[in-house]
Parts: sequence; structure tokens; C-alpha cells
Amino acid sequence: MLTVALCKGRMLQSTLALLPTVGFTPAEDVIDSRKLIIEDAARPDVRYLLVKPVDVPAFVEHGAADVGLVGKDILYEAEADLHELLDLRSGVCRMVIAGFAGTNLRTVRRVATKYPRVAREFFGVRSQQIEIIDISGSVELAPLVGLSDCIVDLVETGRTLSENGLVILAEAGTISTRLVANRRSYQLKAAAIDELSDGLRRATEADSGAHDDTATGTVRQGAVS
Amino acid sequence: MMMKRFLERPRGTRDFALSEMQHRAAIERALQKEFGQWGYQPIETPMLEYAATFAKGLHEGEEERMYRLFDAAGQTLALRPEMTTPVARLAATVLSEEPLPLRLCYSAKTYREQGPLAHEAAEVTQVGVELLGDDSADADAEMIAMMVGGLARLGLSEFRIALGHVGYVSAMLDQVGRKARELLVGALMERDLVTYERTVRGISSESESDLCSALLELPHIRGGREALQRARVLSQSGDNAARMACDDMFDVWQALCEHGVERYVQFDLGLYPNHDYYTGVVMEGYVDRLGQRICYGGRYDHLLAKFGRPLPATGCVLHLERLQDAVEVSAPTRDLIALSYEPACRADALGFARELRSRGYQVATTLYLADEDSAKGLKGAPEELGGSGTQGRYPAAPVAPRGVSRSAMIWDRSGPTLQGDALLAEMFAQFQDRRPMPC
Repeated sequence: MLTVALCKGRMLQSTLALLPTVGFTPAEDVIDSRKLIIEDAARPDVRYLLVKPVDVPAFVEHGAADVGLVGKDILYEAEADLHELLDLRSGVCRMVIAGFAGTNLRTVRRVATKYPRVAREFFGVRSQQIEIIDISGSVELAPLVGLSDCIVDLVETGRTLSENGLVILAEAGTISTRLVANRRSYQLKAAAIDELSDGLRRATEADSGAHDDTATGTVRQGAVS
Repeated sequence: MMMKRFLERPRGTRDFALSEMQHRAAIERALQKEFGQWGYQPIETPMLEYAATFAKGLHEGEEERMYRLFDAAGQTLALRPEMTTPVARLAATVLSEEPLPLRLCYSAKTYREQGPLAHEAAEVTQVGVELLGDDSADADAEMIAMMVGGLARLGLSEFRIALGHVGYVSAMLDQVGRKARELLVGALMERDLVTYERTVRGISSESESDLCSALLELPHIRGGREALQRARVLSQSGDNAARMACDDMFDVWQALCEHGVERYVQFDLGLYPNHDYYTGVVMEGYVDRLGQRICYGGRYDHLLAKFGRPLPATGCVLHLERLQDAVEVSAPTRDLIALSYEPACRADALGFARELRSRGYQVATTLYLADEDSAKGLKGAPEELGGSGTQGRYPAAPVAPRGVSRSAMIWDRSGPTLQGDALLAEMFAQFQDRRPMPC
């Protein structure tokens, strides 16, 4: 039995487009269904868990799921003990520092974000002491009401930022979807995991052309460099 | 709300009691028996060591997580975070005259301040083995075969030991520049193949395309003999060290086949543990019921030299608390005789209990007071102690501890009642023959 954890939300659509191309097909309309465990249409030994994105690392780390598809932003914050096998080059977003135009990044003190580790690292390598305000949603609101000097957040189109009068001040890296595996499953279910991983690798490489490395730098490199 | 701190345990620690403790002790016994059968002798070292001792063995990240304290002279002490370093100290000092190879085993609590991974325990019981003074592939294979033996003895069947070789990976990575090498090692330690792959592609140039494709393939190689054949092919680009490491892995594999345990083992060439002291074959064991590794270890040929006694060494530890979660609980039984008696029968009851204990039985004796009359038998007891019911200082009815498998015996004024097996009845008859009952 191979249990695959999928993120509900933003990334689900692109994941669902990709999986059937490598022979992994959820049996139901995952987007409309309220079910949390979904069987595979053809394989009795595969099932899918629908999990909140931030919970995917925990499900995989503890082995409740053998593998998972999750954004690097969430992986990076979770610091979970698991195998990161593959960059799917989908669900691509930018991790940015945003605020009012003209904000001087060097004097920023309070930073509101859902991504404290990214924020700490970004300002840490610049030897800049900041206070992190941990917020779980509508992060853009923070500078508008004076809660923070800037925000660190994911940006897909930039529309939310511009509608709230904020601009991108700096980039901390690019985020994409990753295939992760539980440490036990990686050894005990090597064949099934390799099949999924190799299939996804072929599909993504065919999709995005040869090694287009610039598309998806990790947060880490982005934040450090 | 006020927190009742005095009722809580520090984060990352656990209590064990009753049936859980029985389960735990049974696992520990089974492993010690296995190690004993391979000729390993138990040792014990202090829970406290000088922090300087661990500075010889651990890397910075691990040292940071030690619990430290100071002795009266201002020396920094540490609660041991692992056992390999104390064993190395022991081998270089107390055991320095012992003939080699040394086969040592232990069961020891170790302490690490919790890292960012909140589920990591602060207190971990490591049940482990160290084999010092033997650098053969047979010694590495012995470690692995013994772990397979231990896990099988615990009734586990769905498990796998993954093997890697630090020397092989090191030699392969020595072919790239220092900075790239550092990134690659870090990525392997964190099992981050995305960063690993990106770094390899980053060093790619026309002249090095063979090397790059070898390095790209390396962490994906898993399996038995066929994996080693791939490893050998890839090592053509490397220096002699890589080819020697390949020979080493073939030797270990061959020995494992001869131990008859190869179906539990697979090579995973990407395996690169987050420990400075490993030098050769490394291993990690996984059980189907548990997401995290259950045992790990490997060869560390340079550690003992740091204590002044250069010796090759290999070792492995199992994590007892994780085993408790993975191993089936066999129905806990206690071979206990519960003997309840009224005051008037105390002399007889305690006498019989003494006899039973001398024959090796476990006997728990409990006084009870059935009623006011019964209390009169308590000579010298203050008035208010008499009386029955839950208010009293003594139980009002015979007491039978939970989980008692063997027998219960109630001794009241009308005489003893046995609720046990024939053996108990017979022993009681013998006891009576020797000493006629007054009551």
C-alpha cells in the first residue's frame, strides 16, 4: 500500500493534472469531494490523503503517508525529517519581501509573515535584527495598519499586493512543489516510490524542457545568496 | 491558570510503569540475550561526563544540544548525549589492557535537548553494541546480522536495514571542488536530493559530464548486489579510495549472504549520516510500523585515536522507546500470588509467604479488616484503626492486584481459601503438614 498525501488548496489543481500522466489517478473528483481518503481508480494498493498543506510534512515524517506533494515554502518552515526527492517545477511562486514603495529594507524592524524561518534567514544573513510577527492569513494587512514595516510572503500574481498599495521590495527565492518521502517508506517501499518519483521526473522534465534551473531556486539559496 | 509544574515531567521525557515497564524490560532482555549470544559483554558508564570528552566525538550541532552543568570546580559536565564516545573513552582507559577485539554492549539513557523536530525525545534509551579492534568487513557484517537477529527475536519481520558507505561517498565527492563538496555532503545529510541534484548540475562542464552523471545517479542507487555493481561502474571516475570502498561493500554483502540475512538488507548509496565520526559502512534500520529509524550505526575508525588508542571500531544502537511502539505487546502476565489475610491469621500467612518466596515465587501480602471483630486481632492497634469500610486505614476486603496470572489466596478466620492452581494447593498442603494450623 502506498499512501500519497496531497495538499488541499492552491496546488491541488496542478498536482491533479500531473499525477494521472504517471499512472496515479485518484478515483474521485478530488476537488469537489469532501472525502479525506480517496482510492486510486485502478490500483488497489494506492490511496490518497487530502491534507492541509502545512500538515503534509507531519503526515509524511511520521509515516501516516509514505510520500507527499508539498510546496517548498511549507517544507522549509517545517524542518521535518524526511527525504526530499524531486522538484516538480509546478506551483511556482516567488517568496518576496513586500511593503510600501520607498521602504528602506535596511531599517526594517518589524516583519509580519507566515514564514518566520525564511524571514529570520533573509534578515539574519544581512546581520539585521528584526522582530517577527507570526500571522496566519491576510498578511498584507499588517503594514496597512502599522502592525509591521514589511511582510514576507508568497506571491503568485502580485494582485493582492498591488490592490493594497504594496510593492515587492526584494525577492527571497522561488518556491515550487516537491515530492517528499518518509524515511521508513523510502527503504521499505523503494520500488513503489521510485516508480512514482521516476515517472514524475520524466513528466516534469518533458514539461519544462531540459534542466531549467533558474526557474526554481530553493528558498535557502535565495535567502542566503 | 496556575500550572502544577510539580506534577509534570520535563518536555521530551516519559514515565514507564506496570505493564508498559514489563513490555520495555522484555524487549531489553531479548536484545541483551541476542548480544550475549554473539559474545558481547555488558558495560555501564556514568550518565555524567566532562563536556570535553564529547567534544572529541560530536560535531558542533550535537554539542550544542547537550545538557550541561558545572561541578564544584567549575568544570563543565554534560549528560551523555550518546554512548559511542564514552565507550571509546572506556576502551582507551579502563579496558586498555584487554585483548582485542572487544565486544561490548549496553543499555543506557541518553539526553539531548530537543531540536526543532518537536517529536524528538529529550531522553532516549539506547541499547547498543560496539566492536572494537576489528576492521574487517566481517565485523561490519556481524553488526548488521546481529541487528537482524535482535529485531527478529522481538517478533518483527517487516523490517529493512539500509546500508551506505561514507568512504565511498566521500571518495566520489572528492572529485568536485571544496565548496560544491560541502553543499553536496550537507544535502545528503539532510536527504535533500533536490539541492544535491541542483548542485551537481551547477558544477557541470563539458569535461566533467561523466562525473556529473555518476554523481547524479549515486544517491538513487538502492538494492543488493546489482546496486554494488552500479557503484563499481560509477567508481571508475573516482580514485582508488572509491574502488576500495566498493570492494569493502562487496565483502560485507558476501558476508551478509553467508549470515543468511541478505533479504533484510539493501544498499542505499545516498545514505550519509549526520555524524562526523563515521568512516566506512553505515546502517539504518526501519520497521514497517514506525516512520522513523529504529536503529543506526556504522564504522568509526578514527574516534579511538582521539582518546590515545588508535583502534578500528564499529557499532550500532537501537532506540528502546521506539521499539516499544513497534513491538507487539505480548499479554502481560505476572507470576504473582496475591495473599490477603486477616489480622488473626497473620503469622500463618506470612510464614507461608516466606516459604513461597524461598522457593522463588512472587508473593504480595496484604492485610484486610473485614469487620469490627476482625480488627480486634490487631494487637496494640489504637482503637480508631479498627472498623471496616473504605474510611479505615486497611482495605475491607481481600485485595487482588490487577494482571495477576497465577493465584490468589485469602486467609480469613475460617481458614485459608485457595483460588489458584494445583501447585499452590500442593505446596500449601506440604506447608500444613510441617506446621499444623492453629486456626
